[in-house]
Amino acid sequence: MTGYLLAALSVLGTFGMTAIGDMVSEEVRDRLDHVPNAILRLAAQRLDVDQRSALYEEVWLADLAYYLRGDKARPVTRLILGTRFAVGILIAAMRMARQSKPRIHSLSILVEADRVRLSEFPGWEWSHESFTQALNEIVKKGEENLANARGVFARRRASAGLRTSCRSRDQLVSAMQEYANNRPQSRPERELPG
Amino acid sequence: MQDLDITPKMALVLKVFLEDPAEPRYGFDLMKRTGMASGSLYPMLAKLENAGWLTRGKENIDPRAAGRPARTNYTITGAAISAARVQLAALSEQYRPPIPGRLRPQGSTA
Repeated sequence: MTGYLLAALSVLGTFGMTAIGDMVSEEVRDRLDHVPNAILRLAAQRLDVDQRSALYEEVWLADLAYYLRGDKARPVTRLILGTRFAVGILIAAMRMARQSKPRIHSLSILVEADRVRLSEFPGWEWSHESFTQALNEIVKKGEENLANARGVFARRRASAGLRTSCRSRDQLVSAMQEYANNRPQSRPERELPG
Repeated sequence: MQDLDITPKMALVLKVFLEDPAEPRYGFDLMKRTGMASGSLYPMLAKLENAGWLTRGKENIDPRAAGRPARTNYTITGAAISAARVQLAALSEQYRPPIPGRLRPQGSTA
């Protein structure tokens, strides 16, 4: 009797496990189908808002659906093909976003007693003529101020420099020109009456 | 229409468009025809479209019946056809191997 019961239970267990396996497999298959879409959505977020709908919805999603269409494409094949398609677009979108992002031009100029300290950061172009001109103006002004300054505190004030970050090269050059034109001359310290 | 510097990969894409200029081309078909990856092809199509070399159209299907959204297709513009032919010819000339020197009979000096 116990033997029959065990046999019946094992048959039921086998059916149960098979059913659960099928359900899990279906669930996994359904979720894996969303992987390429999720990657494409990530790629779309890298783009400008106006580009997003034009490329993501009208081009990428429609082509992905066509690419993975039909019953011939098996789940693993669909996953591999779709992910390869989407990852390629993600990398391209990241590249496009990087190229369209305005680069930050940062510059720090410090005119000191015996030297000019200049720190520049990536994105800089040295060959720009108006930059060189603006830089020379600042250095010249700084040197004049230092020559006029007498006393420790006056020299320290005179040796202050420009530190700025701008979104474009032209903005940076304007900031330099403004600094050179508006920077107050340091006054020679008064001589104490003898 | 803007001028573009044609790269060898771009030449592959333009060549497909020039085979039948009136025929709209789809991204997926272009991937198959040129062997290019999606990451190279789609930015290139966007670049050609922005430069006025390609125009965009929509696939003529009923999305509900087809069970998928209508795809975007691209057609080469009239002005781009002649420009592309000139550019492809220039690129072909650039990549053409040099003609080897005339063969001379063994032992001759001239």
